[in-house]
Order: sequence, then structure tokens, then C-alpha cells
Amino acid sequence: MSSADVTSERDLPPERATVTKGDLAPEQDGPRDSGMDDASLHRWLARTWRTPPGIVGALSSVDHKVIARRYLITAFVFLCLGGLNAVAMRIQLSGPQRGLIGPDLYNQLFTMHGVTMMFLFAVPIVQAAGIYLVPLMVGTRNIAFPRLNAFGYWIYVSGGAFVWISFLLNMAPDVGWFAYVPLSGPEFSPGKRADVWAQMITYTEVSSLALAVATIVTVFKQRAPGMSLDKIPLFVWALLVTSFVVVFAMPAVMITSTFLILDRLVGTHIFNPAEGGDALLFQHLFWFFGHPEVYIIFLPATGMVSSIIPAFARRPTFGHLGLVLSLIAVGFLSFGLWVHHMFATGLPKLGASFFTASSMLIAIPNGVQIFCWLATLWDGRPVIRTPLLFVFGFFFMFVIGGLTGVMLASVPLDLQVHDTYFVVAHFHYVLIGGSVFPLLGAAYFWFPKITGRMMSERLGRWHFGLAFIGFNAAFFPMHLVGLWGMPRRVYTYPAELGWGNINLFISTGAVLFFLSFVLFTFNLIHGALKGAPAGDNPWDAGTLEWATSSPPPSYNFRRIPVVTNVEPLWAEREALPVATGLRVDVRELLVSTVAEAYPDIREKSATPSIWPLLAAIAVGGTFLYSIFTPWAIVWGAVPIAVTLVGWFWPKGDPEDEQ
Amino acid sequence: MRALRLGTSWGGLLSGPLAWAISTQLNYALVPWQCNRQVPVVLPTALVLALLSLLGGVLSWRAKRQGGAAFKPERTRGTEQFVADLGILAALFFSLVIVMQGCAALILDECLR
Repeated sequence: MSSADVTSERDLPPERATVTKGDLAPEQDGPRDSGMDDASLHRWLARTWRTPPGIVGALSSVDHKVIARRYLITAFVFLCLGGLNAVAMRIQLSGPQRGLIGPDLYNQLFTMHGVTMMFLFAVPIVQAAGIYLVPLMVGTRNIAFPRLNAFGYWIYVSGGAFVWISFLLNMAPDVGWFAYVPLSGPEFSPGKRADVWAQMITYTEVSSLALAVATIVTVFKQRAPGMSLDKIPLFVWALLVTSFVVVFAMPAVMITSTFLILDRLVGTHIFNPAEGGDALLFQHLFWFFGHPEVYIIFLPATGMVSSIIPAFARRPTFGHLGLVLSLIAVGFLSFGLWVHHMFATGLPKLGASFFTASSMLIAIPNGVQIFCWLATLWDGRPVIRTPLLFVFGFFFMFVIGGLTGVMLASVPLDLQVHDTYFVVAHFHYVLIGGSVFPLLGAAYFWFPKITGRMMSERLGRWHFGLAFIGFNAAFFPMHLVGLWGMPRRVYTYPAELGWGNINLFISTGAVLFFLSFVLFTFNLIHGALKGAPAGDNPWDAGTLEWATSSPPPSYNFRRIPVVTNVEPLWAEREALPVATGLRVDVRELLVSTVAEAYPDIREKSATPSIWPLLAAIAVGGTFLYSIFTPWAIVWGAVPIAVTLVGWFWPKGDPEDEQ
Repeated sequence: MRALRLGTSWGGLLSGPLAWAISTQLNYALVPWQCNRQVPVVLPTALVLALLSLLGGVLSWRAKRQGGAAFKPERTRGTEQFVADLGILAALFFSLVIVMQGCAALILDECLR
């Protein structure tokens, strides 16, 4: 669609909008936004799209921004809890043979740290950023399947509460975040700890899948008119690819955890070699999920970097095509690297080498991204603000993590350093450098949009300095201590090995890194309460989320924008062209075609409902009960069926009647 | 046939990842077979699959030059070309990965564990 096709205030073509679908609103049915003045339009839309007042209203909300805010806050709480796990471990390891923490608690601590950071913090927070920003960036009024989105949040919270309450009851999993058999099997892990791990996975993955489906449909079908595939913002591309990776990776780990529960509870022998099962199957299934998981965390972070850099380099991203290709290539390749986690299991060397090849070559698309970003900065006029500082930190640390990644892709080196602190250093550089630093940059970047207020720039710079120094002081020496032979997952070490001083240094760095998060939390709260008013577009950025007010109203955009460029706000500085023709008395969205985003039909969007919460309680209760008896699946099916029937029962809403 | 003649913009986007996935899975399964029978199959399989990947890239190339079989006048040329560019580059990249995987068979013994 060229810009000439959709002029300002152009009405949606009625013939396309009404002919084909029987459940669409007839044109004369209700007031539309065409020709309506701004004040009336605001009144209509605010009434139609608002979240109902009161506690039940809040629990019924299906507004993507409300759900995303809850996700972001919950994930941040889990980050703090997981971080406290790490601090406890570092205090124990700060000197040889310290007696603060015994081996049993230490096993629970490192498992809870991994589980919390991977399943309860990293994946949910990037997806939460997606469900907040993607509908705004593509110019629509709500996410697709808003009730499913709400359901995902409730399931996630119940999974997180389940595992953390288990920890308080001394019942937390103690078998590592990967829970390999036979250690986690019935023979070596009696009790309920491994079951808690297995079922927590089910909760979080159901939630993750729900969000992924909603994101994919939003990106494919709800883009603003004119936002053809080549004009989709890179953050949206990143979330699209990530969501596909989620859809194909998460089922593998749900199958793994379900098989484990079957072995433990029902008495199957799927992972028991003595009865014809296969212990290595667990690792294959787990890592078929586990490696893409790294990219599920990393790819949205690259999308954040691709949003931050053009805003501060003051020019569009260099190599848009190359960046999109990199996202797609990495998304595919992430499924062909999993065996590099299993090099020490005695697989045929030639077979393993195929995974070495893929693991090394995934550095090419990642390298292309780095060079495209550098070229953008090189050719731009960079304005150094806190978000960009975190991007610089990301460059430095992610490149180090990537280089050790290429080293670990080589079987001989991997065998030498397997299960040592070298590996711990590598993946913290990749995950914290590659994902947490961009996330922190993104927090400073989009905080004004979410709250309407700015965070303190001065505190932000201090935060960056403290985090950068603390992180590198904590994790760089781990490379060395790993090469000296210090194994992972040990709760202490003898003084004669001479690792005491370097571990004390590492722990000091960890405390600095922890303090940087204290400062960040203060900056968040201070900014939200007393920050300077931000205005709609404080960074003068170019993508659509900055076209609406800060924080955005419940309906996102008064009129649906029309996109003519990959940075629409830079291309249309005077006034953004808009499309009109949507009804304002019911929740109506514009559905567009996949490739060119031609306006296609008008579609209803679900109204607030308490049923997703009730369904999540029924599903969560069933999951919880099922670690005690397999009959939970049978009995739990009844309340789940009841709540789902309630969820989908026509309520007499105008949307349902049409 | 129209798709072959006029090209298909997403050809490389499909063929590249697909050929690479087949190469990874099939060659992984063929290693024990090659060890038992001492018939070199890994490298030829990889080369055939690299070719498959490139063929998809050729379809994308044709679509870039000629518009593509699925192109209709009401569609935007720029979007089709964007997809075609992605297809060409994906096909090239994944064929490189497949060839690298196959090259391992030149160096490593298939029975080595």
C-alpha cells in the first residue's frame, strides 16, 4: 500500500469490511469514529475499552497493558528473589569451607536460582514487554485473544507461587534447573521435590505458550494499515520469531516433565534403561527446549537494542533486511544446537560435530546484528543517555559471551571445562550481558511510556556504572577459576586448592552487582512517584508506541494510524495519517492482511471477564493435585470444563450477538 | 510449474531451514549406519541438501527479478521483494551451514566416540 492509498481520515472500505463475515457489525449498527470530534471520540472509546472498577473488575481485566504491567512487576519480584538466592550462594562460596549453608539447602538454592531466573523471570519478562509493546507498535487497540492473555498471567503467578511456597516448606526442587534423570527419577529423588520442578514447568510453559499465540496473531493480523512485512519494527519481528520458537520449543519440555511425572507417580519406565527406557532421551528432549530457551530470552533483547539504537543514534537502523534475516536465521538455528549441551555424554563424535558446525555458524547472524548496530551508531549522531549506556554494556559483554560460546562449541575444549565455572561465566555473560543489560536499557527507555514519568538520568548513570563493574568483577574471574578446575554446583571447597581469594573477589563483585539493583529499584519507585512528566515522545523516537499518550489510554489510539515507513513518526512529522471507520460503542479492531497489512475486516475484541482467572485456578489446582495422584487429571477435568464453558458462554454482549 | 518459472518469493525461506533441519537429523542418524557399513553417505547427503537449499534460493531470486508466481497487481512489489531478499540470503546461509556440517565427515572418523 502506498501512502497515496490511505489519506488522512480515510474511511475503511465498507465493501471489504462487511461483505464476507457474518458476525461483523453492520455499518449502520452503531456510531463510528469517522468524522467524530476528538472529545466525543475519547468519551466513547474510554467507556467502551475501560477496565471495570473494583476488585472483581481488576481481576477481570483483559487490557494488554494492565496484564503486561502485572507480568512485569511479578517478574521483577522473581528477579529479586532469584538474585537473593545468588547472593546467599556467593556468601557461602566467599571463602573455603564456610558453614553458612549446608549441601542440601545449597542444592535447593542453585536449583531455585536457575528455575526462577529462567522460567519465572527471563522468559516472562521479555514476553511481558512484548504484550505491552507489540499491540502499541503495530497500532492496534488490544492484543489478540485478550482473555487467553489474562489466563496466561494467572497461570504464571500460580506456578511461581507454587514453587516458592514449596521452597519455604523445605520442599523446593534440588536437582538443578534441568533436573536430569536418573537423579530426578523415583530411585534417587524420593519425596516431592522433583515433582515440584516438573509441575512448575507445566504452569510456566502453558502461560508462555498462551502469550506466544496471542503475540503471533497480533503481529500477523492486527497491524495498522500500511505496515507491510518490510515496515514492521525490529522489536516486533524479534517477538514474532521468539513466539514461534516458544511454540515449537516449549512442548518438548512439557513432554519431558510429564514423562518424568509418569515415571515417578504412575510407575512407567520411560527414562529407566534397566526396563528398556532411555535416560539420555531426557537430555535430548530437555535441551531441544533448553537451547532455544536461550534464544527466547536473547532475541527479544536484540529487538530492544534495535529500538533503542535508532532513537539515540538519530537515524533509522542500518541494514534492516540483514537484521530481520538474522532474527529468522537465529530462530531456526536455535533448534539445531542442543547437542552441544551433551558433548560429555559419549555420543558419536561425527554426529556431535554437526552441532558444532551449527553452534559456530550461529555466530554469523549474531555478528551481522552487532555490525549493523555499530554501523547505525557510526553513521548517526549518538546522544548518550542511560538506555544507550546499557546497550554499550551489552555489546561488550555479549561479545565476550559469544566468543566463549564459540570456544565451547568445540568438543575437545568443552570436554575439558565441562561442569566448571568457565561454563557458569560463559552463560552469565550471554544471559546477563545479552539479555538483562538490554532489558535494563529498555526499562529506562520505555518507563516514560508506561508511567508517564521519567527515571532519573543521574541515578541511571550510577546504576549503569555499578552494574557494569559489579557484573564483570563477579563473572570475569569465573572464567579463570573454571579453567583452574573449580566445578559448578559445589557448596564449598577445601582451602588447599587456593581458590579462596578469587572467590572472595567474585563475591564482592556479586554484592556490587546486587547493590546496582537496589539503586535501580529506588530509581524505578522514585521515577514512578516523583519523576519529571515525560510527554508522549520524550526521546523523539520513530515507532508507533510513541504516537499515543504516556501512559497510553485503555484504547491505545484514538484513531488507527496508517503506516508509510518503518519509522512512521519520523516519516510523518506533521501529522500521522489515520484510518477511520471502526465502531466506538463496542470493542472493535481492524484486522489486516498478513503480507501488506491491507485493511481487511473489522473484528470484535473480547470484553473483560472473570472466567480466565477461574479457569486458571481450576487448571492450577489440577496441576498441583496431580503431583500427588494421577486421578487429579480425571477429577480436575470437571472444574476445568465448567470454567471453560463459562469462559466461552455467550454473555449477551453486543459483540457476541453480532 | 508457474511457481518454478516465475519464482516464489518465500522459496529460500522454506528450502534453507528445511534442508538444514533434514541434514542435521538425517546425517545424525546416518553416522552409526556409515560406521557399520563403511559407505560414505554423510558428505554426499549434505551436498544434495545444500543444493536443495540453493534451489529454493533460485526461486526467490526469480521472484525478485520477475515478480513471483503469487504476485497480483493489487499487491505491493516492495513487500514481495523484501521476502525474496530474505529467501535468497536464507538459502545461501543455510547451505553454508549444511556444507560445514558435511565437511566434518572429511575430518572425523564415523566410528569415533
